[in-house]
Amino acid sequence: MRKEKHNSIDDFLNDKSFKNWVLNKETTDDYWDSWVQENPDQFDVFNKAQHIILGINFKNDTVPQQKIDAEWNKLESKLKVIQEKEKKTKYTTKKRIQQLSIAASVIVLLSIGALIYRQFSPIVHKTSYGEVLEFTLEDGTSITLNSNSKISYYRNEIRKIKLEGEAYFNVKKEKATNAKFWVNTNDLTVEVFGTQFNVNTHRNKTKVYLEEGNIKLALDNGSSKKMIPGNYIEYSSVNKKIIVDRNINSNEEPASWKDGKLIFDNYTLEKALNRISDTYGVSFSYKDKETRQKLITGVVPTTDLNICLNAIKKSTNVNIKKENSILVVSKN
Amino acid sequence: MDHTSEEILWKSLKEGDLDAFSMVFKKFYSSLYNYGLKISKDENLTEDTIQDFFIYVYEHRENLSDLNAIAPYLFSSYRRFIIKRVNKTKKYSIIRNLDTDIVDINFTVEELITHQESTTYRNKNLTNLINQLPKRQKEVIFLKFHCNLKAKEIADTMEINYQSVVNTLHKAIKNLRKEITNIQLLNS
Repeated sequence: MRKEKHNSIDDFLNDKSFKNWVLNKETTDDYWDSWVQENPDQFDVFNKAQHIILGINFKNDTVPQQKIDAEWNKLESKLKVIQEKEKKTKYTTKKRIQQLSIAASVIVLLSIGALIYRQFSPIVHKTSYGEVLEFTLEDGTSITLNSNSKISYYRNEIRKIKLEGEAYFNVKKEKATNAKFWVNTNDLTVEVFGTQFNVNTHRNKTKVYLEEGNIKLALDNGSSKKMIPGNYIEYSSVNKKIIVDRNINSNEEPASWKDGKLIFDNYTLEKALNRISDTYGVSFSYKDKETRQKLITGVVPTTDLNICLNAIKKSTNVNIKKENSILVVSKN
Repeated sequence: MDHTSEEILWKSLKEGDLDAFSMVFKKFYSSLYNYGLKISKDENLTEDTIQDFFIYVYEHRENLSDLNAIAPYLFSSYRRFIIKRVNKTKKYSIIRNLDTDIVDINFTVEELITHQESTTYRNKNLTNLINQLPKRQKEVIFLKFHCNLKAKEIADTMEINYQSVVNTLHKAIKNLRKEITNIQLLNS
């Protein structure tokens, strides 16, 4: 913009055309040449402005084009490396997402599988030697599991129990539905409505003792047997018949193990030691035949084998010695 | 280059177009180099920071805002970038200068264009004169006359407002004018 009036240095300095004219020596524009001739009174100001513009103009110290090109080549190769990396990470993230989704679906399938498995796989309670486990089922039935025993049942059929070993049941009666409760062994099925009884499957036979209520045994030979309180029955699927059927007197208490003791009421030593062997997981052998037939009456603990064996040694006057993990019984 | 083409150029640069990067780099390299050299007073550091600065721009290109003029963005970002770098190299100095204090541009006699009428004496005096100005005024003068930035662009670069750029320029020129008059008197 060419102002017609230029009275101060600032007027000149702010005029772009003036600045251009001063800086460009080869300009053909003679406007300012004629201007200064027409305004001789302004010459001083004009001259000063001209000098200021020239004075504070800098040598345009440009970097040589060669240098700039070289610098660009340097940068370009670095940028290309970054480009490659970016492509790779994009690719790997894609791949990673794929892998993750596969992993996620596998996990989902596994958990569904686990849920189904949980639903259809049996719940198992197991004890080792010298261990007694007490627990309550969802329906309120309490079970005491003797040592070296196992019960299992399915989540959807908690009143159908499979037993290996020995357990004492206190079955809760379901008055509303009159639902039955079953205990399954290799030999028979105990069918109950609500009662207290002991089942023992050691030594290839099932021994059932009914304490209270009434139960029915469905034997695997097809017949059934009703029991009344105090009844004790031994049945073996090998012989397909009832081996023992008697009433138990109150001294004996086949279920005394759940209170931590074994009660022997005029048992032969062999029978008593079998019981101890089932409880503690030890084996006995006899040096003399007649020691097997010795009679024993008394109470031994189910939790301490030493006390138990000492009691037996004293009351039957026999010697029990450990030889190669077998307990050898001999006459004193 | 007018605003529309700069806008398009900037857009392609944001998309990672290396040709656009090349154009911007080559167009502004000289000015950025001179500016960086003035601030850091170290040629190697200036070269390295320009490389690193453009890499930084490339890596953050997706976060860049749209521009219709590239220069203000480049100068202001580069200024911050190199100041950070200079600060790092000075990490052992006890007192760290603030951003604005670190930029202390000084001019050499050779940098001033020699005019037929002027003498070495005059140039020397003028150089001294400019160098005696406050730091801020010197930076404004540099950006104005060396990098040919407009007052608004200088304001954006130095992160000060437009009015103070105009005032600073005015003050600087007024100071110079006084002195130039004296020099002229001495010379005549």
